[in-house]
Amino acid sequence: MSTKLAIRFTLNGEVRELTVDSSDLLLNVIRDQEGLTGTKYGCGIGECGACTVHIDGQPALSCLRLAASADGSEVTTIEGLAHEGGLDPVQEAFLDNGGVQCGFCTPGMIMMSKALLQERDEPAADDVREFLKGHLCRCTGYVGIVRAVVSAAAKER
Amino acid sequence: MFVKPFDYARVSSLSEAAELLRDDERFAKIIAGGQSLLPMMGLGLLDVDVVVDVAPIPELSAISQQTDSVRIGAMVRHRELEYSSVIRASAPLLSTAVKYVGSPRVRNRGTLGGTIAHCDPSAEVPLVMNVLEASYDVSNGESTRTIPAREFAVSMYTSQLEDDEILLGASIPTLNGDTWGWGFQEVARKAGDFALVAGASLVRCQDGVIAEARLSLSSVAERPLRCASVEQAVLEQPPSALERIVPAVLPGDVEPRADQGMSAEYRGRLAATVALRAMRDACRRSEPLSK
Repeated sequence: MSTKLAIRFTLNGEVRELTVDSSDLLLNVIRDQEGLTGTKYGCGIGECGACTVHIDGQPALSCLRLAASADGSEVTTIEGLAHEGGLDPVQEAFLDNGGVQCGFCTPGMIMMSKALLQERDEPAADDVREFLKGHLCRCTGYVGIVRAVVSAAAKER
Repeated sequence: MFVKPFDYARVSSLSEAAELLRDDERFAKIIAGGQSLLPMMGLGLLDVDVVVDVAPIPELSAISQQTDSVRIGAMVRHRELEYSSVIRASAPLLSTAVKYVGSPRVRNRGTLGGTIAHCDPSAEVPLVMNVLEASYDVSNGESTRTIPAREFAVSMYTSQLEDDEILLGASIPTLNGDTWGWGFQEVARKAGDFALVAGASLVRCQDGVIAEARLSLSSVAERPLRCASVEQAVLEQPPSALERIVPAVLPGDVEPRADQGMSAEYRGRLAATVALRAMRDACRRSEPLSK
């Protein structure tokens, strides 16, 4: 049996007070209750990276996080990156460097890349590949994605 | 998506957690990082009535250097282990092995206690705990006991924890880094995959020969396997003899079975290669001149 729980967390800078089911995944709440469908359900078992969001400043798999346990946290999704009507530089870099084809892996890739650039100023291509381990892309062959992240880092400097 | 809805309880004390675990009416499981538990539940492999979130319990989160050991609380996240300078100094084998656990996202959430309690036969952390001869403290909210790592797992996904026992943390005896070397090797089909075989080794060389040796392998048995025959056979041998000894002696310790499209024979060869490389690295790190 599940129960209904009241949770309160910050989503893309906005405080949200919601009622969730005790067995709801954060991914479900983001997509179905909050209508933010940028975050994707890829595999449901933490092996593809498509559900990646930031929780309390760190990249995390929203398919392996119970909504109930996100009470009190700060959550950022892909929709939280664009600002003042413009795209985030990492988003621009993906577009400019052929890092997007079908777009399904893209939000997860970008959220993870943002986390990398917060940690490292000058990631080499190998660093990017290492950091994006566990993010699957069926379209691009990863080359454009890696190029985009290296390019975004250079622009940020 | 979950086959069966379940309840969620967040507790702030061990006794609260133990009480929920003891409840016969509802099947309760501790949720730590959830990076192994939630996939199993999502795949319908485990039906849980209530998950018990122990994150708020204060005594579970510290890493502390003791005189002869380092103690790590059960709720310490893999990411903390990966970046900890205390762990890198006292147990570099663990620092290295934890980088192979899942992905950076999984490591942000997954915990030391969770992976130990989960007893996956291919898991990296239980493997290195086994070869490091660590011990675990467990509590049922009233009394605590200590279990040696090598006795903790009983079989696949099964530990000797009683229904109401909670893992508090692990103590790893510190080895003299000037004389002991470590080695870790893993083969997996893709990054972040479960290990096809992983090997962890600790060796102390003296006067150009192996004086003490430990070797444990994952994925070749229902729990991490200490390879006693190999450990005996390499004593008093120079590191150059490993190439001859390890593949010859390992079949005495390891009886791999065929599974998941891999023949027993191939897994055996993989185990020998992983074992050899791990031991060679341990020897190399042990030789004082190469530091």
